[in-house]
Amino acid sequence: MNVTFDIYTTIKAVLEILILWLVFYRILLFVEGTRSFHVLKGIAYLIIAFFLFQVLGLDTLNWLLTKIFAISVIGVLVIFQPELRQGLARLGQQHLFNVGLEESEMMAVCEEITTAVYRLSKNRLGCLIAIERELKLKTYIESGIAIDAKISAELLQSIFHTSSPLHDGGVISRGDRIVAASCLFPLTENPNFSKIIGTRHRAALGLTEQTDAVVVMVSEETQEISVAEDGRFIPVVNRERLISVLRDLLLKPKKGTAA
Amino acid sequence: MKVTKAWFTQNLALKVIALVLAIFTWLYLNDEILKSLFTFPK
Repeated sequence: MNVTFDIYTTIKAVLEILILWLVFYRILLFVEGTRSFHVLKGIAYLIIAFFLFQVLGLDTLNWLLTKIFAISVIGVLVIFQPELRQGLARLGQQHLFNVGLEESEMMAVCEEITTAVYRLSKNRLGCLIAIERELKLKTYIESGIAIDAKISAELLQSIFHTSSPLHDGGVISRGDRIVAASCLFPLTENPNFSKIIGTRHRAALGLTEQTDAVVVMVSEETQEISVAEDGRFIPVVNRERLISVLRDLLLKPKKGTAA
Repeated sequence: MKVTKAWFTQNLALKVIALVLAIFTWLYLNDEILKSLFTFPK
């Protein structure tokens, strides 16, 4: 009886810690990169100092920090008011465990990308668009120019126009936003491909070999549209096929190969 | 496999901080050890 109770208590403790971990991790992810992150860091330093003063027996400083913490609750609410509002709004807008786009929103993104690549192909303009999935493309985003704009066919066309300073390199999109342009992608080292294809194709393959991103590209020379995933190209013959391939890869990522 | 491997290294610092916070919070709420070591502001 005692053993069962102990196992149950342990499982309960582990479960509680796991849930707390998940909550704190989501909060830190949400706050990372915002100005609040630095404020939180400041608060963390104060908390560490508080415990240090107690251990070292520094009573005066300990008393001072105790008084500061006593009134800090209101201060925290005031400082983090915009983030609290944004966080609650986001919590209300989406499913609790899913931070991705709704299916209709993702289809809209696929439509915009498809429209853009077909227009670029028609105008003999090359492009390289990487669509981030589960694996973050942070390293590649940092190699480019930050944009953070809602994805649209017109914006993609503007970026890849030859007179645009952003047209070299690739675009990275996350959800329904273009995160960065002019990003550098790694080139494939696959000996079956490397000698016979251009740099743009090698970049598309290289990125998909190293991440789970999906890359849509247009060849400037042949006007051909290709989709790369997991180190290989998926044939695309027309607009409907492209939308179908993107839908299969982006809405059902676990199923892998598009038919 | 790429995704599984990357999960462990992506945002590793945030995951560690979150785990430490979770354990600390749980200990504070459930265990008398922390309360006997430190005096917390009311």
